[in-house]
Amino acid sequence: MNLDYAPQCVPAPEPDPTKPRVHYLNHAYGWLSWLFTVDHKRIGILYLVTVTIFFAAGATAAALVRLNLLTPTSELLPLDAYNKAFTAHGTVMLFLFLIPVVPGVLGNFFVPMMIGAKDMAFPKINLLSWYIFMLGAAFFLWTLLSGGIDTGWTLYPPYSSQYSHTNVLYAGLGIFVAGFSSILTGLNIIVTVHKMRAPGMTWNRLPLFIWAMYATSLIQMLATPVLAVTVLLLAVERVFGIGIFDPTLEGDPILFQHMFWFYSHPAVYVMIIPGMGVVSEIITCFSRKNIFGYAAIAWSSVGIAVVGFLVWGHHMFLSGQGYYMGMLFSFITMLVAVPSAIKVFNWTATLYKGSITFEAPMLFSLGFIALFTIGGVTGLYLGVMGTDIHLHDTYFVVAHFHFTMVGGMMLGWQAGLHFWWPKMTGKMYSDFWSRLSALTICFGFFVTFIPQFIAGYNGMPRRSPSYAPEYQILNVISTAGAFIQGIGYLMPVFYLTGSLIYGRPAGNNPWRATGLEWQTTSPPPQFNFDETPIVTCGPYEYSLTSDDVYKHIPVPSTNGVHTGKEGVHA
Amino acid sequence: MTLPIPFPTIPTQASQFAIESDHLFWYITLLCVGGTGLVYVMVAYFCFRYAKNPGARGHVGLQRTPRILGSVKLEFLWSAIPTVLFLSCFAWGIWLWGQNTRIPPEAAQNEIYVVGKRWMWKIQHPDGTREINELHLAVDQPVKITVISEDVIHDFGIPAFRQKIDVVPGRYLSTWYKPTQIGSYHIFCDQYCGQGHSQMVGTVHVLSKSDYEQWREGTYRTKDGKNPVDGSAGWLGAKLFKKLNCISCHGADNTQRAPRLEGIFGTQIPIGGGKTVTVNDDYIRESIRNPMAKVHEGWKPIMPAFPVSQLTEEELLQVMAFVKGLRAGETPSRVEHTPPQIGANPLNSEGGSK
Amino acid sequence: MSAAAHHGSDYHYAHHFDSLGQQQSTVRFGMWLFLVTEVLFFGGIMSAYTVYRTMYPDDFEAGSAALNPLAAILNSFLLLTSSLTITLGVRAAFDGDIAGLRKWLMATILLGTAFLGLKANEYYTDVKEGLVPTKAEDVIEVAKSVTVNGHDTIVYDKVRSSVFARKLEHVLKENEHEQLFEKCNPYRVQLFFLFYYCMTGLHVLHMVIGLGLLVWQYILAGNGFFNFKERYVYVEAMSLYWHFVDMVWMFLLPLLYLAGPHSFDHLSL
Ligand code: HEA
Ligand code: HEA
Ligand code: HEC
Ligand code: CUA
Ligand SMILES: [Cu+2]
Repeated sequence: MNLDYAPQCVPAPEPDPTKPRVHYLNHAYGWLSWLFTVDHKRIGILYLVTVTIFFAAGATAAALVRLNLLTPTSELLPLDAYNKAFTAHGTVMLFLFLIPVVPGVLGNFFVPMMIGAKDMAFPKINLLSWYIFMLGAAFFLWTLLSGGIDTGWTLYPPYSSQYSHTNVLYAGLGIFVAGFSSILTGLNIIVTVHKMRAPGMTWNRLPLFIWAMYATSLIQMLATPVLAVTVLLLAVERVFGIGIFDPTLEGDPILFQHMFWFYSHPAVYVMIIPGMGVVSEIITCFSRKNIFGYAAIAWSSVGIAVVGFLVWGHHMFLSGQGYYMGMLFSFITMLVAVPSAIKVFNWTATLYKGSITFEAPMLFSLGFIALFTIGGVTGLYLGVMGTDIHLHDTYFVVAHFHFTMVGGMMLGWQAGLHFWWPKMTGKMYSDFWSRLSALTICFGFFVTFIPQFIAGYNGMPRRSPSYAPEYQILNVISTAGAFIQGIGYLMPVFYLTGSLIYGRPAGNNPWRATGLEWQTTSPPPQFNFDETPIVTCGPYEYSLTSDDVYKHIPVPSTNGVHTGKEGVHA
Repeated sequence: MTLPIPFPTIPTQASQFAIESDHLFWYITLLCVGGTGLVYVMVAYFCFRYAKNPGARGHVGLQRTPRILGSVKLEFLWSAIPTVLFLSCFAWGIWLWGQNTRIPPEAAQNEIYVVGKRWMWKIQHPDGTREINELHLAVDQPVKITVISEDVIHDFGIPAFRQKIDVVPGRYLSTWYKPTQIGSYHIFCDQYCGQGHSQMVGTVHVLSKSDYEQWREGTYRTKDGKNPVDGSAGWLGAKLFKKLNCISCHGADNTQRAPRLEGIFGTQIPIGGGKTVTVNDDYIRESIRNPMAKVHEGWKPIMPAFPVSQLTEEELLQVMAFVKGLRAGETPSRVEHTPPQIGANPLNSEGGSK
Repeated sequence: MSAAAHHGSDYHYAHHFDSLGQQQSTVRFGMWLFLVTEVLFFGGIMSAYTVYRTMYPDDFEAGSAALNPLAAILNSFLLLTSSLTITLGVRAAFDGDIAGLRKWLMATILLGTAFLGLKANEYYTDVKEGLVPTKAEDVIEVAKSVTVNGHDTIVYDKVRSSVFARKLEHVLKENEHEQLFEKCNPYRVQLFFLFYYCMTGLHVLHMVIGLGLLVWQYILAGNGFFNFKERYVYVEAMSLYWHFVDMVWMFLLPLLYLAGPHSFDHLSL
């Protein structure tokens, strides 16, 4: 059999559709088989279900926020209810949705599969980290039910430690606990990538998604403990009414900000690098071409992860941290933006002379590039000290981070979900509805957040239930956009769920992709591969045929552009 | 108010800094539109140019794509060019920041204190005028702004000036404004501070020179000069100095227990261990809130601390104004009974603006 | 401690590994990575400590001088010894010497418990001496000599005084360091004590978890779990953790107890 692409290992035969097949979904039944599973794929599904619920919760809060902002006088919600709403929105979206979503669902499910392993290195710890996550979520839930918190997700003292009357303690506990889940997941992924790769899976043959997950895990492991200890110190102050950030003891509330952002800036990269990994997989697959600049993309992920630890102070230019400190942070911020630019350009170059098709995953990925680029470049305004004076804590910042987090990671997540859904479930969803959903979300997104840039430039402060009347028109447009977006997000709930029942069987490899995960049956068997895969080539050999690879024939370069190494990419 | 604009586009540039800030803003915008535009155009072009004929989807062997793995030259180009562009923004940005923080001497003479307190702005002019949520400035007159918070962190922001500054408890931070355009503009609190955060707003009125003078006359008990008759910050401070019994130690008739405070502002004083400290706002504040922190060498650390509960940030600023203005021989005496000031209007001796 | 399935009489590694070596190196690597995160955990709070220590050196000296270094130094010896015993335990497990393993595990448990005992006693003393941060204030009368009409007289001023400051003054006097009290700002000394309680508290928490794991391995050793020599790697991973906790203490000792001068004449346990 000759394929017009070269998979990383010899593909498994399509199973006989008439015969029943045992796979990871049906080898055991019942609640307990899920709650006590140590199978990374099932744990991935557990995450999928739970984070989707949390997204709905966070989105409901977003809907409240947007509805309330229809009028300048906060007619829907009392002031403190609004404050609780945006805090719930921010904390739930970040800690319970965006940080765990790709590592938890796609990372868990596909990291072992893409490197040809049977499971994560520590399957029990993997399950444990889901339970820890749920415990953290329970604390959050308790916080929300017992009246919510109103500190903003940034929890700045002394407001959060001494003034807020809400349940900061439980929310803090939730962050603390969920953080450990994040640490353990990261640790598990790093060990897995180091120790569990299939024969032939060298570091240079790792799919870029794996590199991205590796970089992400590094951040999760190194940054989250600092958040944990910071929240702990905050809790001490909250409980005993006295603490190290307390200005009446000559403590320094700004120190909290340093410690918080030491985590939270790297954490924003936890919220984007996995999305970048997903997009790297999809762009090559749907343009049927090798990724342009494999090494550049792989190492820029690691570069972002490492340098990202040195820029936290750009959130604090105005806090009085000092001119030279700010200068240093601003300088490094400019440098850390470069690897992102490199990625964007490499993706663009990958499209060149491709053979591009536009199924839903590709549409989401193109949306990612379009929106993330805007999100990223608006980060420059904020990273430049002079302009941040005006833009700090205005809606400009809100628009910036929604462009990166929603336009970036959220679309990346949708892209990945749509890309791998056939593998996870064995079913194909509706082509029409999925494309429509992608277009609706992107359109709604622009309508929601572009006006916020204008409002921010005009000075509208964030976290404000009431605002000056001249901003109303912008806010009305923004709310309208949010509802278009909301419709876009609701569609997958229907067509993806529907596909479980009505979807046609997807086959092993509906996208004719090269990765190892596609060379096994869908849904995968309990231990992923019926035979241990033996990796023979790099991850994205879309321009070779399988014959080329398995016979090891060097392929001459086919055009004028420099093609790097000739022959099979090792 | 000149505020309502149907569709906000470019906010008024009402200060020197706003104009400078917008130059950089539009420079970055130019780069970003260029960079993003390039990406958009290329993606769109490739998507149309290389779109696969849908009919051919899934056919083996059709349309082989070239095997392009990358290009070191291109990688280098698209790392180097953005780096250079980004760094140009950075360099301009720190220059602009310097404009914001380096306070020119003519502004420093005109120091306005802003105290943030949930959820209002208390403003105190050098001559003692106090306002709440309103700030009157004279056009083209540079002023220094020094801020401090009485509780949580706030942020004093004026979009029309493109400026803001965090208002932190326990430390003074300063910036300066040079308003250039007459009008009324928003003051926002830009750091979340709790329930009333969105209502911690105010207005800055930039008045023409003559209007400004008129406003001062109208609001305010005026008697030019340093005489403590005038209800100025220093005058109020003097009253507090007595009320809080500072004079029991720092009084004219007691020289053994505490140093005289006359003329100390701006001087260097020894604090033991061979170290000295310059007497500035922060030092005076610290000496009152936490006298133990730095003890004037040769004196016993007996001065009691005065926490916010006894002396609010606002009052502290008044005491500070008093101490700053204290010249040789002016220290009040403990037993002195000041007769009512001639011309002092009892109605004006307390309270805020207007 | 993942996935050490125990099928039949021969030792099998877990289903998802290809070889025993792979499994063992995975366990070891996992523990090392975990310790890296722990370094960041303690690193965070130690950095915060360092910031304040450089800002307020005198006050941190005074706080340190009020602590009892004798207990801390004794504790250091206990912990260092326990690091030796756990290492001997790893050796025993590697050699398949179950009795030896149990002996050394027990020794480590005892040493660790002794540490906690001493530490508890120290906390008790600290609390008794009133070295607990608080904002409480009360009114006291301070005698002052004032010159009134040319005569020196004594008057009593009512002064609000921090409860903590007076306790601190008392302790420092007892330790013959009243000169430190004169130099310090009791508020900032409270910051020191907050760090003291948080840092040692976190360390104690790690000790307790470590002891739990030790006890668990002790029981497992009794049940024949370690009869498979290959499983020594779990004892090794455990020992890595224990060494780490030990090392954290070796940082806490100078940071907290040796930051100020001490006179040992007045020390007691
Ligand atoms: C996914 C999350 C994510 C990502 C990826 C980023 C990416 C970046 N962010 Fe953002 N940021 C947030 C999430 C994120 N941010 C959040 C949540 C906040 C608010 C927190 C809060 O206060 O609540 C925030 C706030 C924030 C601030 C603080 C603002 C303030 O409060 O005053 C700053 C300041 O420097 C900043 C900068 C940047 C920069 C420089 C990048 C860079 O990494 C971006 C790099 C990318 C590009 C530059 C695009 C690609 C480039 C090209 C295609 C090249 C072509 C362009 C040119 C040649 C110009 N961000
Ligand atoms: C993953 C991260 C994430 C995501 C996906 C979103 C998604 C959205 N966010 Fe969010 N946002 C944050 C992270 C995120 N946000 C953070 C971190 C903050 C800062 C918080 C802080 O300041 O502390 C913030 C703050 C924030 C604000 C500023 C509030 C303020 O400062 O006063 C606004 C205002 O418009 C906003 C709007 C939106 C909108 C319209 C969406 C839309 O994309 C959402 C679209 C979805 C819907 C409109 C609903 C769809 C409906 C469902 C899925 C079913 C739910 C059921 C019912 C409604 C019955 N967000
Ligand atoms: C019990 C006596 C006492 C009282 C009451 C007192 N002070 Fe002092 N003050 C001192 C002493 C002694 C010093 C010098 C030692 C030091 O720096 O702490 C001092 C120092 C100062 C300094 C620093 C100047 C320097 O030379 O170091 C200022 C400013 C000051 N006091 C202001 C005040 C104000 C304002 C009040 C009232 C609100 C006040 N003091 C009340 C005793 C007192
Ligand atoms: Cu004050 Cu927000
Ligand atoms: Cu950041």
